[in-house]
Amino acid sequence: MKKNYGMVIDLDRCVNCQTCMVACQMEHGTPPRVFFTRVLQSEGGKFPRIQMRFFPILCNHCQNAPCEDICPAEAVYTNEDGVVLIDSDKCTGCGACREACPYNIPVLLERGKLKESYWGDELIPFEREKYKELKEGTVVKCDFCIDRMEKGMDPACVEACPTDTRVFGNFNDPESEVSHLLSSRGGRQPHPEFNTNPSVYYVG
Amino acid sequence: MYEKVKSVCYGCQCSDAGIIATKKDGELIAIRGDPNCPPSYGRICGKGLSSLMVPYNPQRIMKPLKRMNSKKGLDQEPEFEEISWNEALDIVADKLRWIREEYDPRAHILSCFDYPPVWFGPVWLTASGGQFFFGGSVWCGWYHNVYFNFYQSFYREIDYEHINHLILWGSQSGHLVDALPVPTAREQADARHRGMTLKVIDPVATNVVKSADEWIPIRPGTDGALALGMLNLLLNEFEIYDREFIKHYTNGSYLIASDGRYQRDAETDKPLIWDENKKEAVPFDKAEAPSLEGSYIVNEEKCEPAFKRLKEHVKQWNVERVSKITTIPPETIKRLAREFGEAAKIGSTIDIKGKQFPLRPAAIQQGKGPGPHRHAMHTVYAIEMLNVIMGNLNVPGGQLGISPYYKRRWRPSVSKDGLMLSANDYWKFGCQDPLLDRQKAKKPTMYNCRDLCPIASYADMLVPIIMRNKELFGMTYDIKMTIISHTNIVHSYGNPDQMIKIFDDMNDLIVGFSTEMNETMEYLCDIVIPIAHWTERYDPLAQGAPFKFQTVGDRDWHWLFRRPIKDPPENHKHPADLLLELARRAGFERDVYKTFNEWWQIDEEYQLDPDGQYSYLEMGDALLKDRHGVSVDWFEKRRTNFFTQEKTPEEAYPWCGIFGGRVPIYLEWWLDVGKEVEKVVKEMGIDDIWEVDDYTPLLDWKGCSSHRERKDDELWLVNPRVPTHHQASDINNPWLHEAGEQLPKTFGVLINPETAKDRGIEKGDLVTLESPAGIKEKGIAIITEGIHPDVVGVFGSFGKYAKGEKIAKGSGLHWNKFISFTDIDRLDKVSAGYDSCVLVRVFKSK
Repeated sequence: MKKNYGMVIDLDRCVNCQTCMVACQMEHGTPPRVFFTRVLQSEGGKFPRIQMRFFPILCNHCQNAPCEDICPAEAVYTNEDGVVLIDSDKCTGCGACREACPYNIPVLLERGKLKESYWGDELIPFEREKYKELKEGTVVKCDFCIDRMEKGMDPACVEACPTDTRVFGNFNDPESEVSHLLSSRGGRQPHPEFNTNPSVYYVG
Repeated sequence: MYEKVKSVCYGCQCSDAGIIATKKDGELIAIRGDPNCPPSYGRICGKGLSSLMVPYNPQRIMKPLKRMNSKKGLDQEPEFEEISWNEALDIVADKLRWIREEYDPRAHILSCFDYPPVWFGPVWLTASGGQFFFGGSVWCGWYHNVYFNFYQSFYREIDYEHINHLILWGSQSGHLVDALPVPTAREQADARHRGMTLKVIDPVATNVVKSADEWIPIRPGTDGALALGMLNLLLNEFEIYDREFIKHYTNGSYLIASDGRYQRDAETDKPLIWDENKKEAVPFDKAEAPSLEGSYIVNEEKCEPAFKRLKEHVKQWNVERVSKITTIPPETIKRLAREFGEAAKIGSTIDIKGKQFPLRPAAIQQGKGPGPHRHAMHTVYAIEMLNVIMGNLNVPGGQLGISPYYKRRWRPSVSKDGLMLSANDYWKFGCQDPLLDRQKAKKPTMYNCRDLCPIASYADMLVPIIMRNKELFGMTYDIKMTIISHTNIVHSYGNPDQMIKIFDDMNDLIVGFSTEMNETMEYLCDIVIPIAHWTERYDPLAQGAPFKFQTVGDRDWHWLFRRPIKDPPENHKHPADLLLELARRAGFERDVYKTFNEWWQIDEEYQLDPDGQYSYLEMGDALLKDRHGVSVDWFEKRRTNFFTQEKTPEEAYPWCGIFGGRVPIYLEWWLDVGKEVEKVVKEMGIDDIWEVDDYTPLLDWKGCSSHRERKDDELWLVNPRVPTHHQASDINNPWLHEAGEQLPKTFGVLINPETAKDRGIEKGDLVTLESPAGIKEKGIAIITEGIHPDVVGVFGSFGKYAKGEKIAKGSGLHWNKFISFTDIDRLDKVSAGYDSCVLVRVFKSK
């Protein structure tokens, strides 16, 4: 059967320590102000009965991916695991996918961006090494750590999360932890009204 | 060429996460959690991962520097010039030799908050004759005392495996802001998932409030009143307390005479207990049925159990009075107390690996918030007393000490009065056991003296205060040299102008060991010597012995081993090796080795030869062999970063029923201490500034000056933490700085909407905070319902000035600058803690 890899995020467990964000930077070597994942924070209610919310976001790897449909260069594709990827050799950086994505996820890696060092100086060895995997003038986003998946590893954000907020697996395997989580605790896709069928679900 | 190295994270002082680092051609290109290293469950946090950036800071200090501008101050350029390693080390060693041989060996200070070599620093200092200055203790030292007494440990953590009801009191446990950040994050998330109730008492809604069932905002510095009110409710109104525990495992059953002292057995001098079976007073170790109530005539004197005294004493803390002080509604206080008491399931037991233990699945964990106030010791004891009366100390579901009871020299013992004595060697580390080996009060001879604070765990706060008031305290010598390693006392202590002036006025030479620039290096140090970053150094006992931040509960012991991931720049050494080199050049290397052998009672076969020459790693090797039967070679051959040993259930839950000994609910010996201190301060002629009225066996809340003097338009300025920045130096890490920017509140000024409205302040306005002393900071207003209306908050430690911290400079506000050391009245004379209440007016900047 076709696989559908995705993530279940348990909002009850997230403490907004931002480890996921930093682990993602470590894995992908994203330059300053480029994020493949972040944690949104909001607050509601009245003193002292307030509700705080931490909301990790990343590419939803939609099964009906508008970014894939719109891409004029056919650079965006869904692989056999259900992961939505961008072929940087084909991507022209036109930005159509960015306009099409209702979640505002893809980021254009502007020209000159890979000369930017976090220290604001020369690139450090880590940046020199990791920037090789990126291509200026193309659109980038979370790829569920496809290189790690090939080695049977979880995405970097999942592996590092100190609270086990993020769980990764194949929704089409009824025995996977993500399937168990959805059947035991429900699970909500972000903005189902967009009709994109995300592979990221939230519980809690 | 790629290479993988297993090591241990030191992104903060906790060292609780095993890591696997990847190198390419000798340079660090990845860090991840080591999935097989047990303490952190293979996880790591953002601070640990971001450490990858630090060794590559282009502003990293590469060569020893000498300050050419003799004037010091925030407005002065240091005018550093590079000097040779030899010259730098000789300047320091010559001064050290002169101090030791010609002036006074006590006249130098080592200020150090580097945890892994915590077994080494004090050995070096004992050999050199100098004094220790933690440099961070002003904000955390005061409360260790209570843990020594109640948990036989340096620190404590919650048994998340069994707890059902947790009150975090000025603490962010489980949210990456605490002593064991990574393991507790997962353990608490599991407990919450299991249904654990979480309540949070804090003036500010930090991240932990997101996970809480209820947030109880409190007015800063009034925590002691709330604790006493809850004690009153539990003891007198709801009558929920662990009667059997109090009878047998506290001194609550000891008879107290009219002078407040124990009624003692004439023959054995042991404190007496009224035995309800025998209907007579018997020595504490002979009582079968101790009484907690009633009055008795013993030795022709009326006396009553200490517990009864406590019960009567807390009646004055009625809920209406407490509500007025704390601003918490009476019904909330009642609910808080009742739910806590009921959740403790007093009387329940649990089997662990075939052994029966009391089960008390409710606990209170206090963090840094409540303590640093004028009567710190009373407050921290009052809060902890709530745990004591539930009998939840070191039992499943309760709060557990994190220092190991392990092998020889670690077991607790019992005092002659039947109280449990600390199991640990704290007092060797400038900390001291509040009961055992209690120093007598005496006229101070050291700047970090506990002579005037004989039951404080440590008293470093006094260093700048005594330096400033040398004559008043009768000091006969100056501090001529200060070596500062792994601390930033100019920024993280109090007002930087004051700190610079106090240290500069007295010292001939101030030396900094650091990888990066910071305020202390730039504005205070005469000589700066670069050191290896943690990714470039060995730490054979990575968690720091003997305190050892061990994970608690029914998990094996683990001991972590840090090895260098990459080579340091040429000549950059571990700071401990620098200290050894200084000892060599100043002529007391031999004393260091001798002290090491004696201090650690090293078995003969592993002892160092005083005439030999050793590195920090070789010394650690001797300690590993002696203590744990493993060696540096053992780790290196296996390429591992840890070893584990089975923990017995008794070691996991070492409650009083196992080791014997009682915990104090009546601090009887404080009376003696108070009298001793009083005598000394009278002799010194400082009794007008050094009051002794806090040495009482029962606890009170008296408030800080801010609670009496606050004007209507003033707000308390508090200083909470976000997870990625609970260490001052993190903010100059570009990854973490960027992470901080992604959170909505990190760098702003938190104000309650009502408070803002009253002042005409709107979201995004530039606002000024101004203290009555005229200290000012400016920042952007963040309007949030998550803060008490009497309070304004800035996260920390931000507001950096150092030019060498290019990333951090200009972000956030500097809370510490509002803390002045001129006011001895702000000092808690028992704990040597300092009142952190800061009052400010807040207004829109022009």
